[in-house]
Amino acid sequence: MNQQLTGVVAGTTPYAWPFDQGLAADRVALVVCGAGDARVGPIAADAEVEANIGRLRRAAVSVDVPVFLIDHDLSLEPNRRHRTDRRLDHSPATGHSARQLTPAGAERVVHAAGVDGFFGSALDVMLRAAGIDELIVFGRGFETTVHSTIRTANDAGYECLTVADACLTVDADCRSAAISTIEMSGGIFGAVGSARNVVLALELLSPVSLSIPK
Amino acid sequence: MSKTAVTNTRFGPVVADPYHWPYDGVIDPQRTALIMIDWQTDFCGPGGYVDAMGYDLNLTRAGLGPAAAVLAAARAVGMHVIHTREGHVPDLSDLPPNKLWRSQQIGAGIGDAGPCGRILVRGEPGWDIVPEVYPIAGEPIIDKPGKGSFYATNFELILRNRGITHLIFTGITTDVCVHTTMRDANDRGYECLLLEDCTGATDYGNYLAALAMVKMQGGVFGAVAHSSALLEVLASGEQG
Repeated sequence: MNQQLTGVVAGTTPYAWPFDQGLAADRVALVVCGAGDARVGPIAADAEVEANIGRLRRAAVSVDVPVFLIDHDLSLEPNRRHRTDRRLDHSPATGHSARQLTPAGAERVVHAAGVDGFFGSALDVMLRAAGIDELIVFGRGFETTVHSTIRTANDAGYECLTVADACLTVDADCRSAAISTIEMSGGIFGAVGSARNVVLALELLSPVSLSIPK
Repeated sequence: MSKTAVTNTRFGPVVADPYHWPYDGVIDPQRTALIMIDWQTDFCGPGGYVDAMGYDLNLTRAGLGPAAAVLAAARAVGMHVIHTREGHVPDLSDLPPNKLWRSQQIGAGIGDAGPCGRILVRGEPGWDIVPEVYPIAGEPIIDKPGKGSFYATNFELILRNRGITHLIFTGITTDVCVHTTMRDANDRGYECLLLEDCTGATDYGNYLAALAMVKMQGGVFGAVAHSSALLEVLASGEQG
C-alpha cells in the first residue's frame, strides 16, 4: 500500500509509473481509445476487459480526474475506404453502443480522424491546457488505437501507462507482443499496469475540485 | 539508366498481404517514396544505442542487405528516396525528461559518451547512417527527435511538396520507429507498404507481431510484401 502513497501505481512494468513518482490528480488523465461506435474494425467482446474499462472510468470520475473518450472516424481517406469496404463485406460491424459514449462527470468525448487519438483531434491542446502530462491509456484496439495513441503521446513527452487488462485486442495472438513492445528498451513507450492497481491508485488521489478555491 | 528515360514508367501492383499493393493498382515513381527508417549505427552498429542496451545486432542488421538492394532499384527507376534519423540536438533541449530517464535506467543514457560518440545525439558518429544505405545528393534526410517521422519534423511538408502519395518502408526497428511512422502515414492517407525482409526489431517475436498488426482488419495500416516481389515488378515496368 505504501507504493500508492509515494505517487506511483503499484506493480507496473518495466518501471514504477510514473517515472518521476509524481502521480497527481491535477496532472493525470484517462484516455479511452476506441470508445465510440467507430470503424476501428471487428473486435471480439471480452466481458472482463469491458468491466475493467467501466471500473477505471468510474474511479476517475469519483476523484474528478479527467477522462477523454476517443471517438475515431476512419471514413475519410480513399485508401482506407477501399480497405474498410472490403472488410465489411466479410465481417460484422463492431456493435458498440452509443451508451458507451455518454460522458459522466469529468468525462468528455474527443473526435479523432485517425486510429491515433491525437490525429485530427483536439486531444493534445486539451491536455496541455489542463496541465496534464500523465496519461493512463486503454480501450478497444490494443494493437490499433491504443498503440497508435501512446506512440504519439510518448513522442510528445507525455508519460504513458497502458492498462493491459483494460485493452481489447483485435488479434489475441498479438497481446503479448503489444505489451512487450511497450516494455522493451527500458519502457520505450512507457509502462504497463493492471486495472486493479490503477483503480487503487486513483482512489487515493484527492479530488482536484477540493483544492481549488471558489 | 538515367532518370529521364524512365520518368513515365509505371509499375505494379506488387504481390502483397493482405492485398496486392497499392490499393489503386499502380506504382508511379513520381508519386512514390522509398522511406529508409533510421539505418544508423546507433540502431544497427557496434557501440551504438541498441548495442549499449545489450540487444542482438544481428536482429536489427538482418534487413540491411535486402534494403540496400531495394534502394539501388528505387534509384534506378527514379523513385523518390527519403531517409530518417532519430537523434537529439547536442544540448538535449528536444529530449523529453522521461525518455532520458528510461535510457539511463537501461544503461544507455541519451547524450552520454559511448564508443561511437554521444548516444543518439545529432552529428555524432553513432547517429550517422551506415555506409551500405548511405544517402546520395538529392535524397532528403528527416531528422526526428522521436520514434515517429512526422512528429516535430518537416517530413509531411516534403511529401506534399513532392506530390508523394505512396510510401514503401524499410528500416529499423520494425515495432518502434517503422511502425510508428507507418501508423502516422496511414492516418494521413498515405498508401503504405512494408518490406518484411528489409526490417528488423530488437525482439524477433515483436518483429513478427508488428508484421501481423499491419495486415489485420484487411490491412489496417497498409500491406506487407517481400522485397523480391517489389524488385520483380520494378524490373518489368511498362510505359505509362
